[in-house]
Amino acid sequence: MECEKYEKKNDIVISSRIRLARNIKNFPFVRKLNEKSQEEIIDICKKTVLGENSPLKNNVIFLNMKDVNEVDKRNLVEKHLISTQLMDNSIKRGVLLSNDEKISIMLNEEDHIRIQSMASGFDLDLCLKNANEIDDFFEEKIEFGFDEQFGFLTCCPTNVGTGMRASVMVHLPALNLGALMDKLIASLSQLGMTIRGMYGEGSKSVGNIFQISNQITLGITENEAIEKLKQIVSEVIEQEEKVKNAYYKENKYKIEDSVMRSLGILKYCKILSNQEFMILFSNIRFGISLEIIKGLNFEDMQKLVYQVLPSSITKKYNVTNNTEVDVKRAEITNNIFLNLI
Amino acid sequence: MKCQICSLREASAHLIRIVHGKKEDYYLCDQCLNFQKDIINLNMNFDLNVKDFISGLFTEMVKVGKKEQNNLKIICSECGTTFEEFTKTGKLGCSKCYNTFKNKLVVLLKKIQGNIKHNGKVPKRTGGEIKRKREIESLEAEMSQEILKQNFEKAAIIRDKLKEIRKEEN
Repeated sequence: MECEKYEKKNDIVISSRIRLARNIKNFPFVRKLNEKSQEEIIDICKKTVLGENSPLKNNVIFLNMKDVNEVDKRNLVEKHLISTQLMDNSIKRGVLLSNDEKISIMLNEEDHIRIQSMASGFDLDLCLKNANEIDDFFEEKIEFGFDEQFGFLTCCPTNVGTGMRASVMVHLPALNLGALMDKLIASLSQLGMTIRGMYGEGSKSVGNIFQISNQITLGITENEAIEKLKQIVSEVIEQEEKVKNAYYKENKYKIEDSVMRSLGILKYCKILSNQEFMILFSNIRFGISLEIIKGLNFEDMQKLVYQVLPSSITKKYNVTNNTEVDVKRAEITNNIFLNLI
Repeated sequence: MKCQICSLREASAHLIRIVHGKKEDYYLCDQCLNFQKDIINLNMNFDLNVKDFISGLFTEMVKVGKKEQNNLKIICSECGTTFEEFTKTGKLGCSKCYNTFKNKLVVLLKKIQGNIKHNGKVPKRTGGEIKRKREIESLEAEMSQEILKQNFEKAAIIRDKLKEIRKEEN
């Protein structure tokens, strides 16, 4: 199979994610819930996940959004663990988060329950398996809004049916460099998929990172949707590889120069904005995949991305001023790259 | 002819846009054409948020006839969401809304999802009946296929299976 060839290959696919949207029967959707019912939803879910016989109870914590400070909230958003909508305190909201940050269950987002399961690399099957297990466990305790014709009922009809959104985050430097993204975007939308920037709907791409996800939730099974996405992503990977190699062949010195310059900046710069970091980071990733840079792996690189997020720096070093944050970011990357290579 | 956008270069392309079913003609130079293409792509993929998308679809539908105006007043008895509210926000208020606005939703779902029948996961608790129905449907389809292929023995085996399932049902 084409797809298997690329499965778990993580130089292009950074991470995979599955999200299931569910609503509890006999309650209106979140936007029509009164305050008492909002609390009730949170209580029911908390009891289910943290209760006596829950398989999740020991490695999941509950965060009540009203008790989470702004920096921590922003950090959760930047790490893709919650959506920006969950930050809005006009509704009582919460999140159940696993210790390894691979599972996040948002409560009272647009739907009562949004189960998110994440994995690094290209592994949608693992994400679906984990999300399904949680969904099944919920279902033992709670009855979901479900209709024979429409499937799982969701607040927005674009999610109705499976309630499932599957997405993969991909790094496509060569396709973007070759100005081929427009073509790709157009053909993906014809295939019932969307491609967006790193932070989903409406966000721009930073550092050549894009999210590809399924659009259709009605009429196909969860597995069919995932298989289709896998096939399309494999195709995108193949195109990226092709363009990458051709481009490198033609512009060897130009590319090596831009990779090594980026490495130099990361080693010796004194002030580094997150925007600039993402561009340099993209070049480094590109350099690793072309084997221009050796001795670095993609997973360490991804950890670094989270480490230098504005909110991560503010949280850890208690600096809020933009310049101070950028100075700290430069310090962190100097240390890492000077020590590594 | 000069390009209709920049009025500087010679027009070399003919762009036809269909907006709300009305045809519009533009004569453009290559550069302006590419720029238009970019805008179209951007509009299609980045700026198209769900709300605008749904209300856009409905605005077209609503314009069709006066009868539709009355439909806007349909209200869900469970949560008080009106159809007008839904066309504006793109969001429903409760499970019952799916019943209240069923006829309209079917048209919309056909457009945005390309399908109007759930085929995915079924909750165990309420799903026994649905699973049985799906199994019967797929066996019936299989049986007709075998009959068409004149594999009557195989068709008979499937027929017996169907009988078993229906017996259990009763």
